[in-house]
Amino acid sequence: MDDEREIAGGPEGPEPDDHALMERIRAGDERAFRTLVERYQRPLLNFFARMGASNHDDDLAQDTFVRLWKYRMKYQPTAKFTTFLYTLARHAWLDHVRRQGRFADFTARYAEETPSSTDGGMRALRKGMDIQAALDALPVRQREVLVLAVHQGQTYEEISRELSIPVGTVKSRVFNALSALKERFREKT
Amino acid sequence: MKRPDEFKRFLEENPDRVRTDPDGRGLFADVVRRLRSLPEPAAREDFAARVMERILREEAEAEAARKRRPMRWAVRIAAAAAVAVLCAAGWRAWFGPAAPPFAAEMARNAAACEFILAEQSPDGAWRAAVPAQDGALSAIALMALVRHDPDPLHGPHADAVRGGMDHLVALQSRPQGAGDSGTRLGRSSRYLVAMALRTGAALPGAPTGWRAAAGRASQDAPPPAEAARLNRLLAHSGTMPETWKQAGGPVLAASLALLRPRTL
Repeated sequence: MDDEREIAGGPEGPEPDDHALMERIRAGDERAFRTLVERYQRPLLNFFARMGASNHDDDLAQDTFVRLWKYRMKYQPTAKFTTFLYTLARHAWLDHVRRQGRFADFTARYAEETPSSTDGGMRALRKGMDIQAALDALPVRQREVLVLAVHQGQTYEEISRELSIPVGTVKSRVFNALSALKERFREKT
Repeated sequence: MKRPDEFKRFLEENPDRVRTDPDGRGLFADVVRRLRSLPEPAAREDFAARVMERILREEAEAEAARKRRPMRWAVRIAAAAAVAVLCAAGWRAWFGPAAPPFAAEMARNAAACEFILAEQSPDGAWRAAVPAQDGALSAIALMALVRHDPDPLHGPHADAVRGGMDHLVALQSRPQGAGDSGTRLGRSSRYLVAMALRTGAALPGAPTGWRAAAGRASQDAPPPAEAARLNRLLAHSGTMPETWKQAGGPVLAASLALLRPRTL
């Protein structure tokens, strides 16, 4: 019980922050790892569901935490923990896409980055019947920044670090994604 | 046309993150609200336990693979060594000396010498199936014995060498070089006899009569082309005419084997 209170910060104590937990995990503390898993289980499941992998969200979330344990010694507390975590999650999702044999479709969508591609995205959006379908129909590059910004509450700066792209690119992708969705919803109403 | 202005306004309203604007402010407030209305997946039971179970399983598998790795390397090294040995054996078989191992060759040479010694006639000659070839066969057998005795006039072959040389000297002194049976020696036979006389005369301590006979034999030298042909036949017995082989019999075969370019 004492150990549990120590990990959880105790009934009155503050919750240990992510960096503190990661320090314990680096030392091989499994209880600290379990605490972190419980803390980020739902955000990760939500991330994978919004990325269109709702049927595999449990596996992918597990895969992300397995990677977190495997690469725990490489973690550097210079950036926000979620930046590290979502980088691992994104890699797990990309591997999943490749395994699913949809890499050709993925790369084709990934290439859609010019303004005209937004029109292509618009055509695809018209086929969607609900919000998730509209989200799934977005180009992958737009979808991932939108999911990270809207559903995971990440700042543009954090997304920029995770994806290794300029902040301005993050903003333009979010803008284009929201414009496409707004158009889609206007058509529907 | 409105897109640049909208984007500019979007950047002004969203300096750091997409705002949720509960009061509906913002260019995309409605879109963001709709997106956030999507239900979040529920937390899964025993999720952390399943993650830990998977980690332990994968670590165990990785450890097992790590333990198997030295064995794989041992197999690879053994396979590489086997390939190297096979290559070396192949190289030796293909490019190496055709002669048998030394021990076997020594035993075979000793047996050939014993056989030639045993086949010598009391008068020092070696008899061929064709009498006209007696002189040639005696010359070849004599040269073989000389070659395989370190001291031919005092060693194990000394008696046979002396007897053979005396026979050839006597043969040379007969009218027109006729053989024992009275058959005239052919040109090739005379050349072979001359070669044997010169070989014996060159030995240290050779009798004066042998050297004199060798001097006389120089007139029996055939033309250079013929001499080269005979030399080739002696060095490469496989090219010897079949009639010669039949006439010389086993003594000729043993003698030619001893005269072959040797590896010892």
